[in-house]
Amino acid sequence: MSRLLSMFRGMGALALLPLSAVPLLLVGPSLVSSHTRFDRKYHSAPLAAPAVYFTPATLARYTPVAPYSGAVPVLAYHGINANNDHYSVSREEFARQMAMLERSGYRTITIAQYLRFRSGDTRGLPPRPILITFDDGRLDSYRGADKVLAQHGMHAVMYVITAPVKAGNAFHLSWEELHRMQDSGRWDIQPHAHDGHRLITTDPEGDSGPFYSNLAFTRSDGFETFAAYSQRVATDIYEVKDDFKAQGLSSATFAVPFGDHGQSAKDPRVEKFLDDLLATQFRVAFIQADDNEPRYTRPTGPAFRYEVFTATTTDALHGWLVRHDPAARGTKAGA
Amino acid sequence: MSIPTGDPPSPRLIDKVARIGAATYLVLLLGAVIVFKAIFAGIVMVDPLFGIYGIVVCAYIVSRFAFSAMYRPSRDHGLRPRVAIVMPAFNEEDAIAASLTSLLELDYPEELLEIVAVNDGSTDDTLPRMERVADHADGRVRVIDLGRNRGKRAAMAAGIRATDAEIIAFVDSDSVLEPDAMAKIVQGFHDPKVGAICGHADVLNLHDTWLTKMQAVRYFVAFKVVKAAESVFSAVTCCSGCFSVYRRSAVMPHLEWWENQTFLGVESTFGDDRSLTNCVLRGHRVRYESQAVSHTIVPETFSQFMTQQTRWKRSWTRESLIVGSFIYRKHPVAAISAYVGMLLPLIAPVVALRAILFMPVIEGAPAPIVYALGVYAMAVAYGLYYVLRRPTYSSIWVYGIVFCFFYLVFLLWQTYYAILTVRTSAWGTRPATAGQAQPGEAPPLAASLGGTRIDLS
Repeated sequence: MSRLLSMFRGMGALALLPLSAVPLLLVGPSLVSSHTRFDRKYHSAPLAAPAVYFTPATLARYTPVAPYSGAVPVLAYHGINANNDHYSVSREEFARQMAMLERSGYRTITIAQYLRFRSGDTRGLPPRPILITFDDGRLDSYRGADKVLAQHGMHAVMYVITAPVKAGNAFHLSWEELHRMQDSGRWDIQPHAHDGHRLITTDPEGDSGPFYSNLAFTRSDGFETFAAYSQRVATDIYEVKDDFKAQGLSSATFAVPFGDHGQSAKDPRVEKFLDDLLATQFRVAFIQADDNEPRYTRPTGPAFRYEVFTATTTDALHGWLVRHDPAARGTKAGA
Repeated sequence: MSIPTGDPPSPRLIDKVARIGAATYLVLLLGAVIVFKAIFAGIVMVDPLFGIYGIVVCAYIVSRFAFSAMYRPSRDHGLRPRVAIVMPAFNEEDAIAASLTSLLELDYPEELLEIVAVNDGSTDDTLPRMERVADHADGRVRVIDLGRNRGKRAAMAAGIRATDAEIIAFVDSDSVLEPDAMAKIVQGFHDPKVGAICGHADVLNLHDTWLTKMQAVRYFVAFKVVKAAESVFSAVTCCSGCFSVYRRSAVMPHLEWWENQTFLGVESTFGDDRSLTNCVLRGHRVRYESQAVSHTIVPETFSQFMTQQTRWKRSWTRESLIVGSFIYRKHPVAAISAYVGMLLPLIAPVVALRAILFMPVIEGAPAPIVYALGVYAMAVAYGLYYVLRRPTYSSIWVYGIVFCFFYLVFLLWQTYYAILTVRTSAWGTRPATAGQAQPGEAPPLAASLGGTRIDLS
């Protein structure tokens, strides 16, 4: 009996071993997972600009273009990192593209200069103006691009999706960082969406489409009414504007998510509603061309952006710029 | 108090389970700490000072375990040199007779073992009791009377001069040796370059109070991990006064310097063991012998314990400066370990303050969870080691965890106080039962995950 008792006491004492692991098991994993936060907090500074080397043959191709006025090409980047994910441009490639732009004589302008241009006042612009934009407010874009832009004395616009910023999403820039960018004079911070930069289910087959340009379909309620759609989209637009207002940031321009302003919507009311909404809420709403072969923007007409993808080489970008160069076209027309 | 018998009881199932469990757990824990450090290696770029500190502490602790695993006790070479045990005593009438008698019962050839009892001017009945033991010991006990109180070092030096034995052994009057301890400890002298060997010390009164239970785990780790790790490179930096042996030829050139050592113009009264080790370590190998076991009485009350710890820290400060002046000529690993072991306790209080007070209060950082978990992980590691290496399982290992936090609260801050008062030569209270010898430098109860740690020095 006493032997049995002492055995039980021994077992109890033995239980101290696994018990001692409880604090480690409870807190340990959360420490390891805090690595994401750690990384986000400390690995958020801009990265050094990669060195760029052009061969003599390439240099010969990138010669200064003739000055032009009354038109501004607009570039749209998504992310600056090494991922081969169709959208991202590597830091090295981005550095090459910026070096090419500088060498070819292009001069970046600010959103304020662009707004003056869109209002018809084309004075005060540099001889070969260009507007560089980034979508989504991504940290990697800032980290990868900032030092390259600084190196060339260039300027860019960051279009921000505010919902993830407010949620503290690690992939996106924080308000603090966005303010720092704005204050650096190198960046303009502009709105891209609140929560509306995502796809929603658009039909019973489960197909999906952009939040702004589709009536939502749910299994429970079927298609949403147009009234519900317009309220949903308008609310998102007002929310992003309010977010910018609360931060003391300007929201004069807007980059339409996925470049889709309802041009291919099944319901014709969508395009009209969305165009009107964007035209009354923003002075410029940037969109993309379906074939990604847009012309330079003019003081009037749609504000098309040329999208730069993973596969877009410096030569391809150079090619687009040259193909649509108004000065060159003007020469051709006059000849 | 009884000494555990030499033969461990046959292991019960529970002991086997505990040891296998503790071994697995310890490996996983140390592995997890390494992985954690690797993941957060980037902290070095963010917070270089504290980041590097954290990694160094972690590397220091893990490497102690790794090196101690490489430790092997001496083989039995059949060595039986002539040994003289020098035992100084000051007003120890209660214990001296039993201490001397227990030495006579050691399992060592009688004609080769001499006991030198030195009466350091005791004002009680110590001297007559020494003589009574000597009268019944067939000339194996020599009694030296200093005539008046001259201090522990003078008594030890007189005892050394009184004998011509090849090996000098020191056994603290608070310590009891296992019967085979002397035969085991001298085997290391097979290597002619070895000048001193430190025996193992377990806590005799471990079941008395929570404080002695804590010290039991601490002593165990200090010897089996830290000293064993130092021994791998033949550079043990403190041969504990509990039980140590020296080659006479290694001691004699330093005897007068050691007896009259001064520091900053003040006579060095304590830390005799660490100081003598340093003298020998300069020109010899110094090893640890885990199979030569002594059992020693440690302080039972808080104030006794704190007084002892302050004294140790003061002698640690003094002797670290001396070790630092020559250890670089030893094995690089031993040298690096020694210098790191000196620096860390100096930085530890700053790191602790920063983690516990500055960061949460001033910087608004969350509670020092990382720091606390780091201390806890280190504490558990020491406890697990105790379970792993003990023949029978006992829940005393949990006091190893208690000790780490006790250290954080009470002992960590002593380093600066000890440095500022390093010239103090007063022994403090000198209770008959308080261990006067140090078990070695602190087990590096130092932990860090988030650039934080505490150190047990």
